[in-house]
Amino acid sequence: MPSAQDLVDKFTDIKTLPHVAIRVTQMAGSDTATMQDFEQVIKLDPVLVIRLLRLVNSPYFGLSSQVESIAKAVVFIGMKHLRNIVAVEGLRNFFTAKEKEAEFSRKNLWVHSATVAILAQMISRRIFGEDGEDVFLAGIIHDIGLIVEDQLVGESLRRVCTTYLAAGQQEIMTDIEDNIIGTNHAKVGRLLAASWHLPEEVVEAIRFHHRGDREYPLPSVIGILQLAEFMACKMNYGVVNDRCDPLPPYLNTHLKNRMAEYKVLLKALPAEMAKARELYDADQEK
Amino acid sequence: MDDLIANVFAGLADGDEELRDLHAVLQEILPEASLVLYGDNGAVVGAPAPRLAADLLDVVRSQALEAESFISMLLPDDGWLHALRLQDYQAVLLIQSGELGEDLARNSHLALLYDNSVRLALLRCQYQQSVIENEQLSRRMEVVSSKHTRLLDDNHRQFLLIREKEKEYAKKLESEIARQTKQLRDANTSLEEASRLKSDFLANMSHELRTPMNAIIGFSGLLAETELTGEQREFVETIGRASASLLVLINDILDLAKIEAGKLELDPRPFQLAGLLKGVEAMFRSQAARKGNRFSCRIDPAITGNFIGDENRIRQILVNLAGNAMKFTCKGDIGIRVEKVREDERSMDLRFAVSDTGIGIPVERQKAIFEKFTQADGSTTRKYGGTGLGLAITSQLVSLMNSEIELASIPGQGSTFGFVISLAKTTEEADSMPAALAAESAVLADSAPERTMAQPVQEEVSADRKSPPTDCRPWKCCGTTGMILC
Repeated sequence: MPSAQDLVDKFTDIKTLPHVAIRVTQMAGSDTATMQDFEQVIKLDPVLVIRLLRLVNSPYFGLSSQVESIAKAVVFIGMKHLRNIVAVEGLRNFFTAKEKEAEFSRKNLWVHSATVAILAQMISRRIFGEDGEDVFLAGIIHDIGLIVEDQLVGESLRRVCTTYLAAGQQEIMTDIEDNIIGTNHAKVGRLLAASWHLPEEVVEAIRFHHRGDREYPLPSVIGILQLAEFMACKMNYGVVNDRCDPLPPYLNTHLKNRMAEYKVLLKALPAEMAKARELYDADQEK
Repeated sequence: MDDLIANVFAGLADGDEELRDLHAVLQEILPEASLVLYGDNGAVVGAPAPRLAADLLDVVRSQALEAESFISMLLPDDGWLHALRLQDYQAVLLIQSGELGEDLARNSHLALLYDNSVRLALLRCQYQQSVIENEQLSRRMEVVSSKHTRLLDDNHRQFLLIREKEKEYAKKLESEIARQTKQLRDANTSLEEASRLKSDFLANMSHELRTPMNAIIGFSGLLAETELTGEQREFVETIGRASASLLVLINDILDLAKIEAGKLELDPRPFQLAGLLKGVEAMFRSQAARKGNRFSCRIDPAITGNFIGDENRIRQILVNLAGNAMKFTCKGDIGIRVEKVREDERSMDLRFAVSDTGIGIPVERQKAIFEKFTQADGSTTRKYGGTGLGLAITSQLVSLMNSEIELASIPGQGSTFGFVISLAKTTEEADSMPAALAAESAVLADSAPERTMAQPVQEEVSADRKSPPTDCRPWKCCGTTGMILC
């Protein structure tokens, strides 16, 4: 059975996050990077420049003035936000659908990832009053391990999905993956994220997003990610139909205590998703 | 959508929280009435009317589902039951009140009371939700404002960084420029020094170079006088011709070196312009005839009297230009023109022009030909010969006279070289033979052996005037015999 590292090594031979995206991620975490550095790096990929400017000017950011340069985008939305859009752009082509998609669909996974990312950022903003840039990144990237598994051990992944659907509600997907594949998408995703130099908190969130045995006092990236994941699955934006891991008890308590607030938040989700459509909808280009 | 949201909270507590909230609020407004809410999902909030038969309840509920306002029903025990569909809550509200039991359709006051009570309750519930929404909105505004501050800070930080980088860059640029400037200056100084040393050397070599050359020319001339076989004579003549042209080359180089070393000074004396031109014309007459060229000299009739100037250098300039014209023209016209440009009491500006109908010079080469060792193009040298020094010397001489050579040329049609110099007028008679000539020319008068051989050479050459070498003419000058090389 392959280890997580085996899968990551094999996968990076086939597909890699564009160099530009990795550089941008590194720069976003640096104190010495300037808008000029961003501009220089991103300019290397002219298509990316056009896509980025289009996204920055989309309703999701609600900027009052037109942004026509990367440097200006850095000024208006900040480095971390720009990093997130670059990541979305870089990841988009990982999720291109394959022909036969029954138990597991990359397209669904992309919509799931986008929903989790948007929900997570909404929770950050509306419940905790934080901007949630890292939370968004964690959301968009948290299931990247599934893509790796689909690419390399697709048949096994499909068996995992079938087993998962048939299993009891308390069964956790990663445990089934461990049994059938030998590793799981959280481990794989964590290695991949670390190799892309994502922020430590994001890497840890990817690693533990299916684990409920430890508490991460809110607003932690992982706590918010798990809340968002739970709600997305419950609202039919899940990975494997509407199967959903149970929430860890401390998050359950949190959700119960602030139910009224979360209800209001969820009512605003469709509007937010519509605004962010350009962000995750690949068909938008046509 | 609401179902989906309910899904999220399905596992948490009961899904009837909203109904319970509403019930509590309604009960607060209508404390006397007994209120029950029946949710579409089967939830029941509030105490159900104990006397109400289940089938009757169903009838009321299904009627209420259709109606838009309260419906009233008289119960078997004489009380009234009022029902209202609450679409937003997916529920039906039943109100039973002993005291106010009456048909609402008949009692509009009571209907209004109930209506308003329910509306108030709904508004209160909505108000709670609005409070939450407001809270979230203000949190989002906080996020935006703190992000704004953060962006400002970050942009300021970037601004400082960029400024710092620019300063560093400017500093680096400055020092780099200073370093390169110094390097260039040093290189320039050493080049100038090298060039000066070379020119000094050449200028000083003048005598040392010319003396042996003259010995070779002289003795090969003498040798030609002795009895020789035909073959020997041919050899000797070849030596003579070759050394004469070598001497021309050496003289050119030495002249140039002298000018560059700043050692050449003009020697202005009174001279006669017509005489000067006549001399030049005589020099080229036979060569022109050989190449089938018409050669003419013309002086503006307005030019009269004598001038003060360095006659030898003016002649050298004209001979060089005319020699060039001759070299590049075949079966054409070559002319020297002198015109008056300006005149005042003391001086006159004269324009000298040497024109030909030769091969001409392409525009892009017109500047380069005045540089040392350069001709209009590389192939010219192979075809027409020449060292490429003549024009360099000429232009240096002209600039010594505070003027500049102008060139007008059309390839294939010919060229005109011209310059304007200002000469002082004089009434003094010109020396019949300028003394400067003797001083400047390569005088073979230093040592006795050379004089003994120079004499016959000169006599021999003057005896045979039919074809004098263009650039090597004998002169008698103030009693000293020498050879002037133009």
